Amino acid sequence: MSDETLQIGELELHSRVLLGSAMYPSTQVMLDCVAASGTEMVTVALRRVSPGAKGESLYELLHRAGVHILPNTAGCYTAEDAVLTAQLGREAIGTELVKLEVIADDQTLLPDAAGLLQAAEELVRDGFVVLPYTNDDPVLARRLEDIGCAAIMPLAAPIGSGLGVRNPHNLSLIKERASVPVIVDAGLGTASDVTIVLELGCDGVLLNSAVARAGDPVMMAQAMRAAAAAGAAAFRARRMPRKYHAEASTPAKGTPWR
Amino acid sequence: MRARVNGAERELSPGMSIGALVNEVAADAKAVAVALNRAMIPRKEWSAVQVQEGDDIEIVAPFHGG
Repeated sequence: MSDETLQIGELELHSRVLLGSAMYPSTQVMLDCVAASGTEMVTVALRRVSPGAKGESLYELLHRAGVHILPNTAGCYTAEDAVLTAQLGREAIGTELVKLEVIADDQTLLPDAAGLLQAAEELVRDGFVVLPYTNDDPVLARRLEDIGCAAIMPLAAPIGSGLGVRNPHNLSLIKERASVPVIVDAGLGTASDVTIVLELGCDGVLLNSAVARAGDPVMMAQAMRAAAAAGAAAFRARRMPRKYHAEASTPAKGTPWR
Repeated sequence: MRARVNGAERELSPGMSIGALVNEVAADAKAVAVALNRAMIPRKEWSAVQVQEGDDIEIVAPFHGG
């Protein structure tokens, strides 16, 4: 993976921002956010078709926008449901990519670790490029990588909470031990959250609510793009060491009246 | 013949194929996938697989999601 690209399986992305397609005030705003964020990958869910739906489908719109479509398994509470939903996504969209979600319960929307491992294992064996939405647990992340997942997607905070990075130490540990990309998914709320994630050395972010539910989603999408670029550059620039006490930047030598 | 299609009971013609059902339910839908009794049926098999009495069929397509 070069400094400027995000490698997911065989795919090389030139943006570190992945975007969800839900909750925008309108389809046009969603498309404007896709453009403004610079993203090259957008997530979708699989849902029952509505008879007589008019206009261009989400699939056609995203296809025309030129982005990779990443089907998720949102709404799945068991490994079995997630595997079947992934198979439906592959058949519908013609992609091996899947954002794997196995959710434990409605209140927390946290991943079910046991179900996640089981589903990931089955899907990897079946040829999927698996991007698992996981807890910020370095041990679980390692297990998912060992199984053969193409990336690790730890949460920053609960889905839709916008609380930002709750445990930067764990995200650093996950990144330090991972040889696949670490894409922080869920819980980011604003541009500084994205910058923090990238400054920690993580490879990317997946955003949805933070953009779609902003007062001005398109402006927020632009801000997120800039924030990701700033964080990635700051990480590569290697920040100064933290110091406990002040240290004057202006030299004391030559100060008058001293 | 009755079968469950996207969660609702429906009266279907006997011998109806999955392909015919998809055409009826989602003629204009793009990127559709089908599960029959909780197993994915590949598109290339749609015309050959006939719906049976009591089958549970889900017809899905990409939708807004995060």
